[in-house]
Amino acid sequence: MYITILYIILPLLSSFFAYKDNKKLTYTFSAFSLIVLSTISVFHFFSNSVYQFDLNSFLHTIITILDLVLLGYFAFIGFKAQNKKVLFLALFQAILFLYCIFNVSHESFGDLYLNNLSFFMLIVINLVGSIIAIYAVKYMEYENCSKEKRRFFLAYLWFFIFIMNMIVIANNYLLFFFFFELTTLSSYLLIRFRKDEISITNSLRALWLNQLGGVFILFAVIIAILNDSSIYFTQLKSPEVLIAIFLAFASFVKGASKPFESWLLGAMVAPTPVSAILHSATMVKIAPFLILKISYVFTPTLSLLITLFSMGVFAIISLQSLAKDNFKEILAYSTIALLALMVSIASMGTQEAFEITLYLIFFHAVSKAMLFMIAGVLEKQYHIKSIEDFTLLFQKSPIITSLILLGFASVTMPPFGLFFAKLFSLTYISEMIKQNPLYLLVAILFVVGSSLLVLLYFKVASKLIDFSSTQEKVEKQEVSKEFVFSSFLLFFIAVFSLVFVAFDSLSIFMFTTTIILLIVVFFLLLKLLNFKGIDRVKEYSCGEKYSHNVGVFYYDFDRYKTTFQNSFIALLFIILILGLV
Amino acid sequence: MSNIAIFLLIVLAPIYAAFFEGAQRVLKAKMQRRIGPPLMQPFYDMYKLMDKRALMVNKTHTLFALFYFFTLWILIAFIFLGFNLLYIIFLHLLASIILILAGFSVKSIFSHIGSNRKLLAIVAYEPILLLISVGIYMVYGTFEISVILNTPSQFLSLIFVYFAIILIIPAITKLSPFDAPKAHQEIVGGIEIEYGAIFYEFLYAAKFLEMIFAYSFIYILAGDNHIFGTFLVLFSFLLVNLIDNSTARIQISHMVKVILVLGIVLCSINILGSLLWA
Repeated sequence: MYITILYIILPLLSSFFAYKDNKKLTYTFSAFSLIVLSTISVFHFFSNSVYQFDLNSFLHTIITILDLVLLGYFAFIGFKAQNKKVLFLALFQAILFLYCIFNVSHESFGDLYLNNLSFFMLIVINLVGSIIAIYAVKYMEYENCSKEKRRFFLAYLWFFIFIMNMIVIANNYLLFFFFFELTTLSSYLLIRFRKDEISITNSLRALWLNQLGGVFILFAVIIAILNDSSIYFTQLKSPEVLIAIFLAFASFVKGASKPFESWLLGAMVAPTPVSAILHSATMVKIAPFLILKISYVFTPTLSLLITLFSMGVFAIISLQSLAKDNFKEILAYSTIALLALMVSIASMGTQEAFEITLYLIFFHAVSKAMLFMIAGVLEKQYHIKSIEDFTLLFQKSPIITSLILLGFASVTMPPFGLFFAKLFSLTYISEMIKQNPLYLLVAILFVVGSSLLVLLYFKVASKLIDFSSTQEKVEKQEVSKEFVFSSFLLFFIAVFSLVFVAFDSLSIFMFTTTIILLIVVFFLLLKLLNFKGIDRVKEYSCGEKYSHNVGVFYYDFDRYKTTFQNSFIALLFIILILGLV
Repeated sequence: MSNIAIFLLIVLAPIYAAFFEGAQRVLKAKMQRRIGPPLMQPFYDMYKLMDKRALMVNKTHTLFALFYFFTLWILIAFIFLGFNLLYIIFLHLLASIILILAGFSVKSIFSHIGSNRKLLAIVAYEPILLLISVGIYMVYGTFEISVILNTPSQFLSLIFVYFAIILIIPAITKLSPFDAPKAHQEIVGGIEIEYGAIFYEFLYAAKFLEMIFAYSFIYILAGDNHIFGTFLVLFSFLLVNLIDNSTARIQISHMVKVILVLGIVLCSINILGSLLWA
């Protein structure tokens, strides 16, 4: 029971030392926090423990006051930046919030609730989040900013992990709302870190879109108050579909699902990759988490509607991503697509769907964090942002190239975790078709979307590895070890976690080990084999003398952009109407 | 089947698949009223290729070709061991990606175009392959090949899935009308162009293994009726070659549209139909 305090104290302590700018102590405490918190979470996750406890009324009052302060701050931001959307939404939220405060019945139930799901999220947050925060220490050394700002940034990362720890154990809607708004504040502060024009525009957009999510949660609270039902997640009963719908909408906002996706894209393009990692690896995972929490009250119609909606987002976003050339933007698109996939499967609401979603959440967090870290290295050490500049990267740094390829493979190829999640979901969806033929649409969108993701990743690869035999040597550039270390750590976590999947059955075990062996042998041979005595030749070029420069293919669907956006907004209303029927 | 027979089928796969390829060339020649090469031509080609002076562009490029071949061989082993259909499809995806990386790993325009087209071809047939296996699951109730092959044959309820397979076999084995990724006259063979001598032999042999992969889906449709399965494979072989001879190559973008639309429609008909009968 007292372990909850650790989830609060350790990140805050790390935050404190990061602010003190003591590198040694920061590293020590970060590593300590990483190991202790992940171990505790893993232990409790596997022992199926459940804890719950109340906050006393004093704490409740403090949180309410802080909430009002926060909303006031949002209004202030809106006023100062002369952004009407932010200002209006902040005031609107404040009115709704005050209504909730004065009308909510003071029932007492576990305000904090830790079960299997919460412990699982705690594993993801503390394992992946802490590794990112450790990586950030090195990363920020390359950042061109004052020492004050750097200290603030590193301290804030740990504060963010604390917020994330709290949001997954909050059981009360209002408490959840408070931490939800705090994550919104974090996005705002992390995105606008550099204070240039693009960062400020994107941060304001992220702010008002996420405030919409807050509005949806408050709607859910008000409906609960009007219907005289409980405002605790664990007390949610099946006839209260409307509450579930609004909470699901809030999760769409946080998970940057269509039509709200532009805030996450903005967060990625804004030049702060560390915050990009945190967003895509941890924060947006609130979306599938929230759906998993409420999906047991979904009616069959509602669960089909949300599944279809999100699977549609998965396919359409994968299609739209084919036109992009910024590496981080590509990763952002695939994050949104895979989040939609998670939400889609989570909303099916059965035990099997629950497990598949957990697989997806974990392996996606690990492999996306890894890819974003490499994107950060590319930006800081090689000054590469667009995939068009990837030329000759393999000669410059084989390690980085291999890591990118492995990262791509971990999203799409066997034997990595995401592949298993996809495998199980396809099996599961096929089973669902037998119950409701409309799931066939889900299956079609799923298979098309996932093959589009393959196309997306491996067309990028075309720029990564092309090189000629006869070209002059390119100088190798060493990458700093602290950068690569965290990527390797994440990769090994991904491979190691396969153990939990691979021992499921003999055939899976054989399959996994064979492919891992194949990959290992490939890299060994690449290192050892020299093909001595075999002559090297230049490529065939029809007798032409000049050298060719090959580009990447893009498939542009941007002319349908507005159509897509409008139809997804319409679909939201359809969910609202049909879900209630 | 006894263990030894399965073992032999796996180990000798590239050899008897070569006869498959030889037969295909003989058949094509007969359809075009040419004399054509003898049945043993793939083996003569092998001798010839092994005899030539080995040349290569770079190490990565060559290694990718070898691994493409070995991954496909492992894939064939998994088919004969009766693994899950989905594993096999995803492993085939891995093999194709290795081939695509091979195409990208040299600075050759033809090779790059070939790889890009191959990627588009994957976007076209990969979803259909998965839907085909969903269709098979609807009828036979499982994804495990070993179980399907011991279940009474229900070929007739899979007739549209059969058409879908016939639709994508040319895309997998690079036959007309879906041979844009290879397109000898336009892009000089695409990915194949930068390989020579013994290394080309691996790519050449991998093509035979791709044929086993593609036709094994047809064999599976027949369930436990192995004689019918064999007949079906031979018939489809004839049919696919007839299509190859009587159609012209279509553009890659058209190919993606045609395969996706037709394939999804065919598989959906079959899946919905099997729900109605059940």
